[in-house]
Amino acid sequence: MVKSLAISLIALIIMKDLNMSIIGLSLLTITSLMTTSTAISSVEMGGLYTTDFVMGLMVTLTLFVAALSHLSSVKTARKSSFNLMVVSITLILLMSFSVSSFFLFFFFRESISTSAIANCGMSMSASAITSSGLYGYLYCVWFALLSMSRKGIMCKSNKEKNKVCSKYSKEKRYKTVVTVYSGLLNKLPMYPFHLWLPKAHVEAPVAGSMLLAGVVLKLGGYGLLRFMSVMQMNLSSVFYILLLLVNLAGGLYAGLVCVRQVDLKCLVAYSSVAHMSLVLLGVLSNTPVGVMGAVIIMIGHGLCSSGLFSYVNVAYKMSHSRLLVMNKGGLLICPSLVLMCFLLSSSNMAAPPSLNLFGEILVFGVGGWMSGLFLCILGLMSFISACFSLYLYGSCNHGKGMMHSESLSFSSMCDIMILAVHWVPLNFLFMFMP
Amino acid sequence: MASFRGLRRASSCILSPVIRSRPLTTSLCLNGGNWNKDWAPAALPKNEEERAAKAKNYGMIPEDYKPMSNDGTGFGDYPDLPAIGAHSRSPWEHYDMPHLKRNYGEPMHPEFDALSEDRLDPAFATQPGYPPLWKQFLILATVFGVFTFIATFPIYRFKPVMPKQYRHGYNTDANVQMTHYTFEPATESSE
Amino acid sequence: MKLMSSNLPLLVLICSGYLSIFTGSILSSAYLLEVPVWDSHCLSFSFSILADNVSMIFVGTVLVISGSVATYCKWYMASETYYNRFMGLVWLFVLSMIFMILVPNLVMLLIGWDGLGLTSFLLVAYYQNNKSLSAAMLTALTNRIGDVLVLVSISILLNEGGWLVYSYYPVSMWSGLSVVVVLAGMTKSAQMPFCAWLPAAMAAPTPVSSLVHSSTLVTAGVYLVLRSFYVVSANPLATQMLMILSLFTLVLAGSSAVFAFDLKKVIALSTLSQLSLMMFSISILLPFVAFFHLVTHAVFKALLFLGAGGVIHSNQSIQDIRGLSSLWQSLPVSMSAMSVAIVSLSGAPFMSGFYSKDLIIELSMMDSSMTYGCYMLELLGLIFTSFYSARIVFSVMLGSNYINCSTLRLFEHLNMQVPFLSLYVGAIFLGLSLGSTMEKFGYVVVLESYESLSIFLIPFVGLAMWWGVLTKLGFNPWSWTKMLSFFLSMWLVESLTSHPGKTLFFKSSLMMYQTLDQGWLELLGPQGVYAKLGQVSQLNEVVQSNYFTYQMVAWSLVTIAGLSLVVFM
Repeated sequence: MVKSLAISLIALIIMKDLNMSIIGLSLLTITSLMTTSTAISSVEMGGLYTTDFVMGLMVTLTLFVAALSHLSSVKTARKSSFNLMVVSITLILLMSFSVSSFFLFFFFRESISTSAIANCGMSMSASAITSSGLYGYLYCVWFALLSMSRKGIMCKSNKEKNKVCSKYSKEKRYKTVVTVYSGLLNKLPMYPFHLWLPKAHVEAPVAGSMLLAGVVLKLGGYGLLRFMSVMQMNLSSVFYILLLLVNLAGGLYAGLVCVRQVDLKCLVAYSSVAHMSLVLLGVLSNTPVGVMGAVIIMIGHGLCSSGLFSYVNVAYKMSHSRLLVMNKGGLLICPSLVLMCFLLSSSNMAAPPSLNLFGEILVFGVGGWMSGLFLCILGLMSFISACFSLYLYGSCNHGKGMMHSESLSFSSMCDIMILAVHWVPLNFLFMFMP
Repeated sequence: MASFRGLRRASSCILSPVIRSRPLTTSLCLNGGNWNKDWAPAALPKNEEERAAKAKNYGMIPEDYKPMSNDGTGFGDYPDLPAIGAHSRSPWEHYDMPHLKRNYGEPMHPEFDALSEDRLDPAFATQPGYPPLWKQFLILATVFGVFTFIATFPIYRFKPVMPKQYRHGYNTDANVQMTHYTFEPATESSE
Repeated sequence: MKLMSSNLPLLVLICSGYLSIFTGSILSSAYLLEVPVWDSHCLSFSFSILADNVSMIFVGTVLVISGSVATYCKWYMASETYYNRFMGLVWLFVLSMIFMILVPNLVMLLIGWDGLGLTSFLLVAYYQNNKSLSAAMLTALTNRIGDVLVLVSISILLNEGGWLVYSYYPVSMWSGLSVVVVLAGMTKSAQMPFCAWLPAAMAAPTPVSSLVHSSTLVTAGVYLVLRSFYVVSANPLATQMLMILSLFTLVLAGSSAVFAFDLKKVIALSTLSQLSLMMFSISILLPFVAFFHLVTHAVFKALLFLGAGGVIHSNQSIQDIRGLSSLWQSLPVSMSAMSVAIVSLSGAPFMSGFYSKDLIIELSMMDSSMTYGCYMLELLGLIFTSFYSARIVFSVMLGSNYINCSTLRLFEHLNMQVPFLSLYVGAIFLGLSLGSTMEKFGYVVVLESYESLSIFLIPFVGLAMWWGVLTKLGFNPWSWTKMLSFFLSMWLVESLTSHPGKTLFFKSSLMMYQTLDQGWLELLGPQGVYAKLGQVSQLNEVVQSNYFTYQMVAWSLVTIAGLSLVVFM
């Protein structure tokens, strides 16, 4: 299946037509959804690709978000090169989710950063590229070097690149874990390493933002999931406990910082950081319930964040400003858009019956099982996410708005349809979860 | 207003650096109808007559007119107006445009659209974050006073009722007698 | 007749509500329907519906009140452009409430609980002004604290593997669970640390206040606590805390309502004091008496709100009682509604409030764990109740100020009178019928004679105090302006609860952002590394920009020194 996906995506790259890409990606999404629902057990094909349930979900999510990001960018200039860029990012993402070797996964993961920078660079001014490019490269390259060195040593000592032998001594295992994890934690933005995310989101066009928030962050989570299942790590070591604490504190800080943001995109970016910290907690808990919660939050957050970025794009198109104070009075201008904004921001704060709530319940359960302190911090994080989600909604949609603006360009039906298509699976997929 | 004020205070300190990166005309052109084409920034005034003429152009008296500084953050000869938000302006005056609290011909601050009633006001940043000391004492005294009043002075009086029967384990006092009934079958002798 | 036919579905709803109350009261068994929704290795979430007599009665009450309010909205919100949007939100709210009532599973209850918070946010923020938005944020965030506490209790119960918290006999229960559940109920029902949102939420339209803030949303907390009574009563700390905080709120609300001038705010504070009474009765381990009071209070408080709405709407939206006068001539039906409601509220003999409220007071007097302080405060709260209710209704009905001197009878639409009629039935007969049919509400009361006499006389004491103020026999509390600001701001509760929280939140958020994100993380990350690399390369440039010979000489000297060190050591 993955081979056929890759071939059809290469075909889409060659075609260079935006509309065809949209249709093609939508069809591919449906196909992959159908195959995912049947492929429950894991299948390894030719030693190169692994088809698992989680992989199937991620692949479907990638194609879905890619199709929607194409749909959001129907008014960009330079359509064919944009199309090339986005479809190639999609292809690389698919590859990274489906390969079974850690080395290949690492390879595809780091090649995202190049394409992402190029994507950002396509639409913005020069000064902006340098700051976002600098951040992106600095973080990704630094941690990539660390991971690369460790992987190289692993490759040299073992004949198989996948397995991490248990006959490693404790220090070697420790070093392996620290270095490889740091590469992954940078991608799933854990708090100390998250600075590249707001910068990248602010400079990126909407399709880049949607793919970044929707799928690229999941690469980190997915890698951690896979790595955690083969790695033998001492779960009472200082590193592990420190990781958990820094992760949770970081999620709390990221949520706190959200309320002081003046830029809409930065706000949604920091909320991504907060959600991903829940994913990390679920993965590190070493329980099936936690892993399931992490996967559910990953999918829910992918849909919700990319929907919120799409909404921010619509607001930007109406007011030409990303500032929170300049986007007001949406209810008087476009009520359907306000409905969609409310649905998406309430799903962001884990309102029922969204997947976010479901995953959060599971992660709460796991966190409470691990420690009572985690429960307090998780509760605070949940409350703060409600604060900023309602702040986003109330600020953008309530009130008089710009009574003295010169043009009222309404949002189109297409934009609202995109948002609705984000919301519907987010809230009805819980019925189909096994 | 009360709880939102805190949020406004939060964002009122970001006024200049972010918005001033836009050129002047895009900021005020969003307020369609209030802008005057003669107010577009020009070169700085060189002598007194030019200064007086520019002040008259902007609708100010020459003593008040002071162009913005020329260090890269100004807009040419545009006057350096204080950033007063619509919330701080007097609500009892009769303005020509009451929803903006502005009269016709009044010079506009470059970030005028951010200083409207429902947006920012730098005056919020100067409010104290806490009530005065006497109020704090009054609050604490009230709360603790009522709590003390409730919690002390137990009532001891006779009530012709049995003591309340709680569930097992509710009363953690050691000296509470709880009778436990056991059910043995009645023997022949006790009838 | 056309009006009657267009209201027919709502009338059917009201009748089915009363029918549900009736069947609920004679129901002798409980029905539990359980459908497993999600099954995993060790957990299973299931969707369950519990049809108990308590839940049937409560569902019936909600249906009655929502049917009456919906009929009333046809008149009140007739000039509203987006009427369908409003009614959609109202029905969504009613749906969440019924969901919350019927589902005993804590995980599925969260769906209704969260839905209540969100729909009440949208309803309170319905009018597009700043005051509405800030009130809505306050409401939503306080309710969100309750949501978080319910999530915490779900996580605690994860150890048990099941979430049927209503009739729960856990294997090993952490005693903190009761404190968590009690706090969750307290946020929804606006008890002491969280009581700032209820008077602020009066920024909502009056039908919304009548439905949401008198009977359904605020009683959801009480309902959760009384249904989880087994869990709550296991920990004496939780019940003691509930008793102290509910008594505090009782006196707070009562004393603030005595001084308040806004009609809707007084009714909101009255709701608050009755809620404290319900929570108080749970804290002295009488959950079903609290439920009785919940049901009767819901009906007559909704009636009071609807009457007040009629008054406000017919007087150009004046909500201040100093601007309303002599309305017995202009709006007789609304005035009769309000009078019936407050007479029932004060506990006049044989109305609904008499059965439920007086039962609470008598049973609390029988309880031996009460201190003198509790006793005094309870009686004080009750005197306040009759005082302020007499004040608002009689000053609005019979008072005369010189703003409004008309004697014309205003037209009272049928859509306004029908809800009054349907709620009269509840306000007058519900106490009698429920008290006699439900055995859970029947108690034997043994009191001293002076105690029962004092309970009987309390409403009249309040009335007498009001008469004293009117005829200037006694004191006039409204001339003490300093005291007035203390009471009008609800004992400065905003400075105690929401203000420190807000300040801490924003200050810490700013500090976090400036110290970490723009400070240390930048220093140790990109900006710092960039600067350091720049310095290093500058140093390199300095080193490399000297002439080649100088470098040769310098390096050869260093090499000779090193070699000599090595050779001669």
